[in-house]
Formats: sequence, C-alpha cells, structure tokens
Amino acid sequence: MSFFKNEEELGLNLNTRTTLVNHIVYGIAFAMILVSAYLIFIYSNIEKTMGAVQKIFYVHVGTAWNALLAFGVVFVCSILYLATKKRIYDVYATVAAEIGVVFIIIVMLTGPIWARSAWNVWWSWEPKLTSALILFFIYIAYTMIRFMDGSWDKKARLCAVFGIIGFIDVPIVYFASEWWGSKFHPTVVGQEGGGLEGNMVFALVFTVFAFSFFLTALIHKGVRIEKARIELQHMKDKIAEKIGR
Amino acid sequence: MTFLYTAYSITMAILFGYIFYLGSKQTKVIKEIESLKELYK
Amino acid sequence: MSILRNALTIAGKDLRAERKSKQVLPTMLVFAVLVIVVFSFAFDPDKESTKALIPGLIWIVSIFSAILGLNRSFISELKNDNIQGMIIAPVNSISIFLGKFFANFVMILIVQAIAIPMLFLLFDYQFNGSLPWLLLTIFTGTFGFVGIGSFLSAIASNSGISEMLLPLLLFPIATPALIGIVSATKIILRHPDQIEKAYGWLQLVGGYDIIFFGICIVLFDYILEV
Repeated sequence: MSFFKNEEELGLNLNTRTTLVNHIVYGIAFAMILVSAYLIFIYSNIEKTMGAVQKIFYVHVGTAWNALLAFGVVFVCSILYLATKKRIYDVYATVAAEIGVVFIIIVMLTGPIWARSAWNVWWSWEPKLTSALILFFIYIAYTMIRFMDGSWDKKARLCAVFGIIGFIDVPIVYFASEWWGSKFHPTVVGQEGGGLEGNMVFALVFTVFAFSFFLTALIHKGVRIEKARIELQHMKDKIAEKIGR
Repeated sequence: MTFLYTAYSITMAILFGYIFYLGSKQTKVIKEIESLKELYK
Repeated sequence: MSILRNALTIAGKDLRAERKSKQVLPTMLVFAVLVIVVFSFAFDPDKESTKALIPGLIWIVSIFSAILGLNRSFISELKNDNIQGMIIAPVNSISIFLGKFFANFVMILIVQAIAIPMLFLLFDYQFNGSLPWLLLTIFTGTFGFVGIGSFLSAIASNSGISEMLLPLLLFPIATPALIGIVSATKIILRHPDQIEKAYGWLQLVGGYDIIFFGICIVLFDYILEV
C-alpha cells in the first residue's frame, strides 16, 4: 500500500533520509567555512587605514552576494513555476527565499558594525545600504505572502508573481538610490575595492564561494524537509479521507 | 578587533542557528511521518 | 481595442458604484486632510524650515490616502464572489486590471486635486513655480504607484489581513518611484531655476512606470487564475 500515487504529478522525489550526497555537500561547506575563517583572520593582510575591522568586509560581502544569489534562485524558480506549474519549483523558491532572508539579516547586522567602526556612523543612506534595506523589506513581504492562508497552488502563484516583480525592482532601486544619494549627501563613504591587495582578493573570492556552498547545502536540506512536509500532508489527507469514509 | 569578532560571531551564530532550526524541523517532520506510518499499518 | 472598451466599462462600473455608495472617496478625502492636520501639529507651519517638508508631504498624503482606496478596490469584489464572475466573463484579464487601475487613478487624482491645494493653504505656502511641471510630476508619480498598487492589491486581496499586507507589499516595490517623484517635486517647488534636473527624475519615474505597467499587464493573468 503506497501513499504516494501522485508523486510523479508533483514532480517530487520523496525521500526523507539523509544520503551520502548530503553528507558530502555539508562536509565541503563546513570545510570551506573553516578555511575561509583561516583566510580571514590569519592569511589576509590587515588593511592600512581601517585596520583589522576591515576584515568584517569578507563575511559581509560574502553573505550579501549569496543573499542576491538566493533571490536570483527565487526569481528563476518563480518564472519556471509559472511556466510549468510543477510544485518542485515552488518548493525551491520557498526555501531559497527563506535562506536569502537569513543571509540578508546577517548583512544588515554586520553592515552597521563595520560602518560604526570605519565611518563612525551606524547607518548612512548610501546606495548599497539603501537598496539592501529595500531588498530586505521586499523579501519580508514575500514571506508574508507565503504565510497567507489558502491552498498551496494559490500561494505558489502569488509568491511567484511577487518574486518576479521584487527581483526586477532591485536594480531599479539601486539605480534610483545611487542618483538620490549622490545628489543630496556628501561622500561619507569611500569607494571600496580600490586598495585590495592580492591575498585580500583571494580571501574574498574564497569566502564568497564558501558561503555559496553553504547556501547550496542549506537549500538542499531545506528542499528535502519541505518535500517531507508535503508527504506528511498527503498522509494526513489520506487518513482523513479513510476515517471520513 | 572586538568589532570584527562580534560581527564574525553574529554571522556564524545566525548561520548555525538556522541549521539547528532546520534540523529540528526535519526531526519533527520525520517523527510525525514514522508515527503515521505505524498508525496506518 | 475591445480590451480598452471593456476596461472602461469596468472602471465606469466602479466609479458609478462609488457615486451611489459614497463610501471610499469621502473617506480618502477626510483622511488626507486629517494627515495634513496632524502634520501641522507635528511641524510648526509658521516656521520657514517647515516649507522644506512640503514636497515630501504631498506624497505622504497622496500615498496614505491612496492605500485606503487601493485596499477596497479588489476586496469590494469579493462580496458575492463578484471576482469569480469577472474571471469567468468573456473579457481579457488585462481589461480587469486596466479597469481597476483607471478607477483608482481617477479617485486618487480627485483626492489630490482637493488635498494638495488644501495643503498649500494650511501651510500658507505661496506656489510660484511652474504649474504644468507640477501637474506633470503629480500625474507621472501617481500613475506609477497606482499601477503597481492596483496590481499588488489584487495579490493582497487573497489574504485575510489584506489591509495590513498591502502597504508592506507596496512601499518597498514603489521605492524607486517615490525617490524619483519626491526629488522632482522638491526641485519644482524649491529650485524652479533647475528645472532640467527635475526632468531627469521624471524620466526615471517614467521609465519605472513603463516597466512596471508592462510587467503588471503580463503577470496579471496569473493572479486571477482560478
């Protein structure tokens, strides 16, 4: 007796056990995070004007890029969902959006710490900061649509639509705030990236990739949990049907 | 230096906190599935 | 062409219903004036420095009262499952979006036509810039956020807490339009000599309007699916 007749139709592969692939992905992600910690704290040079504090930059930029990457995954999966109506894309979008919000929260927390020590202000309405803040709010709103009541396919449709609009909005927000910020504020913030030395660039690139692997591992795990939850819901529906009869 | 350590530990705390959250979610779902399978037999 | 005709029919239906029921428009108007009154308590209208706030105030008043109208625009269709009737009716779903947009746009322009002169009056502001530019700015900005607002209100209407959800969805998405339009209004009201800078901002908002109006038309089909 199998519960899952419509497995094919859902496009899901229902398997809740931890597999070898899982362990490998996790292993690589953890190892890369450890190596990147070594690169950040010991290997890379200390920046001359800002001092050791400048090293916040590695985790900050690493998480920021991967938050964007996660939202990119949401965008692509949203389009694919609307085009194919396969539930698996909705599952990926759900998970990626949640992890993206976690990453952007890290960005929003580490940013002010760096800003406070480097520029002596907690916040400045600089284009990158403004657009990160708006990005944060867009995906909070996305999560609010997720929490709506109703059937999954309705939520999936609305989320997909909002995921597309939200992602298209991001570059426009950046452009607008760049124009706005440069007009009404003196440059409090110096251009970063100008004075990066070789081993700093290496540390940065490595950290970005380490977080990308971490992101992949998290999405992988999140998707499996989400599939298990769908499976659970199916079982409950089946049982309810049986009892009802 | 304190700023750097604070920022780094916040990052790692949130990341590992999130993994922990995912793990507990997974355990809960799997447990529920197992118990339902028992019930269904 | 029939898309536009159907849209105008739907907009006409909304506006006629509003003329009979007189619920939404008066509420929006009173609310807009109340926001102005609250602002004059919060910031002393006699001070010269308060004049600098007026460009921002125009848009705060417009957007807050627009949110009230936008909220109602799709929720009012939920009664008796009207929205199902509209989906089943042999009209293109684009007409539904355009119709709702026209109705909201007209109502908000009416509110602005009354509230903005009222704002100038209560804050004792002597407007001596270029009126066509001001009107063009208001038109472009309102077009932008009412377009995306009507679209998002269709999304929000599916939720149990749509009144609370809509501002959360609308404000972040409308940010570029708001930045552009407030900056343009500021230049027109306070630095009439630098009008070509306002033109730059208007181009930004115009671009935003076109991009998002296009996206809304393409994606609206998916929101209304049964």
